[in-house]
Amino acid sequence: MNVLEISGVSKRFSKNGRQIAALDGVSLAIEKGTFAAVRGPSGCGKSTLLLVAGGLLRPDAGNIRINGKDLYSLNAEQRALVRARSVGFVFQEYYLIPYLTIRENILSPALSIFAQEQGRRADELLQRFALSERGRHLPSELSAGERQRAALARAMLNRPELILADEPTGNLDEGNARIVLGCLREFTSSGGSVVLVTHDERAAGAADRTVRMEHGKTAD
Amino acid sequence: MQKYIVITIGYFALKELLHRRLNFFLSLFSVALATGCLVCAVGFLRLFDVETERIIAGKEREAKNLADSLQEEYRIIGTKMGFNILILPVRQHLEELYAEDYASQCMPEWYVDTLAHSGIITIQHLLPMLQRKVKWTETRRTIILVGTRGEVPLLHADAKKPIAEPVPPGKIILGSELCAGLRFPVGGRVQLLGRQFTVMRCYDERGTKDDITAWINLREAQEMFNKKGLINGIMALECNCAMANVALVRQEISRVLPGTQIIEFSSKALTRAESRARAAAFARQSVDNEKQNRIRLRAEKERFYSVLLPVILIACSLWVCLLAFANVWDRRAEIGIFRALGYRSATVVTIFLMRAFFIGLAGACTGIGAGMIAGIAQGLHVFGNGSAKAFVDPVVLFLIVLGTPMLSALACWLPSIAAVNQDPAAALRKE
Ligand SMILES: Nc1ncnc2c1ncn2[C@@H]1O[C@H](COP(=O)(O)OP(=O)(O)O)[C@@H](O)[C@H]1O
Ligand SMILES: [Mg+2]
Repeated sequence: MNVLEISGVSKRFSKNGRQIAALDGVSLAIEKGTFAAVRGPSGCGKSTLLLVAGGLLRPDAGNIRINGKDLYSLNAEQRALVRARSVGFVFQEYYLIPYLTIRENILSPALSIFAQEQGRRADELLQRFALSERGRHLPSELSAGERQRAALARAMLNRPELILADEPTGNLDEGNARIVLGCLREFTSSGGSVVLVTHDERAAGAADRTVRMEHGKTAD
Repeated sequence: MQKYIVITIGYFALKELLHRRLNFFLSLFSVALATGCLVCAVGFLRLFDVETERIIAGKEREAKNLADSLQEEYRIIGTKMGFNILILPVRQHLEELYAEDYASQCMPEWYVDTLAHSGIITIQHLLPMLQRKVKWTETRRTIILVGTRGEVPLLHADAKKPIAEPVPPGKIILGSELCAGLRFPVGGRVQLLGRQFTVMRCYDERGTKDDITAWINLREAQEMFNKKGLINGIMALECNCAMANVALVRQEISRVLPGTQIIEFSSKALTRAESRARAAAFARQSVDNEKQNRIRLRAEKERFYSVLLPVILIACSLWVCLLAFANVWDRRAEIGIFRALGYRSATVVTIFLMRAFFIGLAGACTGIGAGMIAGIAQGLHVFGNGSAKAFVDPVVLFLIVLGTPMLSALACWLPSIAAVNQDPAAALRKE
């Protein structure tokens, strides 16, 4: 069964009066438990693809299904709920909330879905990502690798089925990149699915399956 | 669950405020300025009112003192401006009059009517009377008993306010000595030479023989003394010195009433009564003037505040609103993450409104504190220790503490809406 189905998705932007097709009829299906990498040069539409797939950016054409549900037939609040339940985002820039401690950052998805024992879950994630010592620190006090691990832990708090990762290793050295990719790998082995977009060949190497992308189009 | 979310949002909002301190302090300062001005304006008006009360009380005391001193001056002026004469039967020996305090000789009562109809212009008030010094056997005192019918109107002259009141039959008016010594209550009954009288009034002390005088109705006096249709004197009061001197008045009266003689006397009681009234009126006037003055000053202050306060309030609200927009701009990526984490729109709005609420609350407390320090310092040199109580109106403070966070949230309404409407994709996509 496909966790994510992207079918015929197009997205255009107008830039300085010129139309740019960031996505041009992209179709892609991600099965449960797979680690898929989308590889392509900078500007080929990878980030746009993830935002569209996560329900944050409405495509001009085509549709997105998450667990069979057409995402853009829902209203914004319903899409937010789907994100809260099923999707975790990881970005190259981490986007941790600067005034919250690492533990609070990891707990912040609780504001979209409140569940029992989220505190315990946060502590568990801190331990799993080797951040136990860092729980009370602010993001600015952490190294790049620690920050990305914290962002990954945050994405996992609500036990999503799908993680959308945009260049998660872009700011990391090789050692930390390996750790983060290892964590994503582990997530798929426990039944989760990952879509990782990157221009980095080595990062793509960690995936079960690689899709090449160029000028808004996919090519296997 | 809702409660948990609200508490968490509040906690996050507080952490954010302490993180982006510049924006927070600029907002806080702005709110504090507005509430401080409000507290001061309300407080200063209160101080002003308390001050007014004090000033008016002081003025009233002053006015009373003034009235007392003016009264004396008016009395002097009064005795200079007019004089009083007593018309007696020509047979009356003056030695006897002065020795016995009353005239023993009588003349017909109609003399006074003749005089009133004569067109005499140098006299303003005519008081016929029948006087005797008597032993008040019931109390074993010697008193002067005066029968009077009040003032006889002068036909040709304009009606003037009577200066002496008639005494109705069965009533009696007593001088202060008779009242005080015997403690007859007003309205009580007394027995005088076998007749019953109701005490109509007690006069204040005058320092003259008026103090041992009792006034009754002329008819009754005539019956008691067996002098029907007779009087033994006519007092002519407030003779007009602008038109005449004593000699002229004497000439005029003796032409109308050939069987009479005229002596001059001054009646302290009457001039004093008049001067007292005038001085009191003057004093009242000066208190009224001060009251008017304070009311005018207060209205001016109110007008000033009613212009100043809205200007400050609007300016501060705009400034807070602007700072909130800057805050939203700063937090584009954060808002994007909120959306990526699946926060509902209501949650995102609440995050920003809660922030505004805290700014309002903190600003109100700071403003009230600063305003009170300013107000109490100001009040201190006017009122001393009571100034805090005079300055602070707890109800107003309560309303400010309650209202300011609301107003702050209102000022941040648009920025909060802008935060929700912001496109998360634009903030999260890095070139
Ligand atoms: N909001 C936007 N407005 C205008 N152009 C955009 C916008 N978002 C993306 N683009 C353009 O779309 C193309 C794809 O962008 P992006 O998805 O960020 O590429 P990638 O992540 O692969 O580097 C780029 O040419 C970019 O300039
Ligand atoms: Mg990108």
